[in-house]
Amino acid sequence: MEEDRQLIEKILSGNAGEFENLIRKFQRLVMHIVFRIIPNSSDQEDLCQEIFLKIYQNLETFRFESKLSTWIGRIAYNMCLNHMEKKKLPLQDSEFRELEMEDFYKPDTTPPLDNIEKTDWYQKIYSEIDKLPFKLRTILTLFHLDGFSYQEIGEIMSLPEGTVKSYLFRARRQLKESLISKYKYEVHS
Amino acid sequence: MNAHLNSEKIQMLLDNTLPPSEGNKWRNHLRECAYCQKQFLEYEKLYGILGKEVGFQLPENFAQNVMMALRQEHKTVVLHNWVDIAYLTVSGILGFILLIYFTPIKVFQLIFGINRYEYLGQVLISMLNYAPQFKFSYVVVTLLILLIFSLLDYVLIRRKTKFHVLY
Repeated sequence: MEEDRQLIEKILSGNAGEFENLIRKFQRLVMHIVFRIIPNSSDQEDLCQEIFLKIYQNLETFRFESKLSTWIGRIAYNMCLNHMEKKKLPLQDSEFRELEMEDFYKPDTTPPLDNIEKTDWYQKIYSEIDKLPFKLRTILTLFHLDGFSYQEIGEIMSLPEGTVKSYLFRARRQLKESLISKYKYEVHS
Repeated sequence: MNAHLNSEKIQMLLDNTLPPSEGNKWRNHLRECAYCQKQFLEYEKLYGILGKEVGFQLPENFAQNVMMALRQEHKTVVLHNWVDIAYLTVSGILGFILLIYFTPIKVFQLIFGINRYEYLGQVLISMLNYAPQFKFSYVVVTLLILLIFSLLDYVLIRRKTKFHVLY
């Protein structure tokens, strides 16, 4: 936090070159969010760049009320939503419904993935992640790749902490179930 | 404990979000239950893969590209500042001329006194001599001209400057 404060103060005091350090520090985070949400690869890099320009533009307004990474994540997430809206991409997946608590605590009856390691795990998992609703994809990425807590993810995506938790659990369970069903399909075909 | 761990409990165990006593209870269960062990290992493997950064790539010079874009924006803003100064100067001069041109002679006489004309200079005096009576339509026309000027400024200059630079 103190390191981020010093970095921002340097940039705001006129040392614009320090902004390059900020980009290097947070480009992975921005990239994760953009690449997970925006399906069109030709737009991804441009959007990442626009996000950093926006960060630069608004750096003065950052009040250290949250972590810098959370603030940057929120800008990136909102700009992705704006981009999707502008390009008329679907913001709400049709099969995506709000998770109910009884659904959340339903016992898991999926059979174990005994032989799935024989197949290409990575390829399967990443193609299955892309099929998830964008909110679930983003939560999975922010939690597993960027190490954000439920609360921080909630701040980035403007969701209650409990919802983040429910979506995260659902995403992992859905991912596991779809892998099993696909694996079975391949065995029988 | 006969009940199996459900997927949420397994995930909570892996996330370390279960209360310590409950976590220990389920860990003991995991040692004894082969079915739950399998479930747990599957999720553990899934976690491992989800934590790997595959399928993301930005160019190595991404940061430099952003900085270059920022400098480009900076140049545009500097240019924009000069245009602003020129715009203000021209507007100021035009405004002053219009003010004098549309001000009725009687108002001038009231402010400066009838004997002060000669001090305003030859140009202003000749302008005053030809000044028409104040008409509301002249004000409307003037405002329209300024509005068009502002619109042109916004469309041609300001919209191209997407980002305000802080320094």
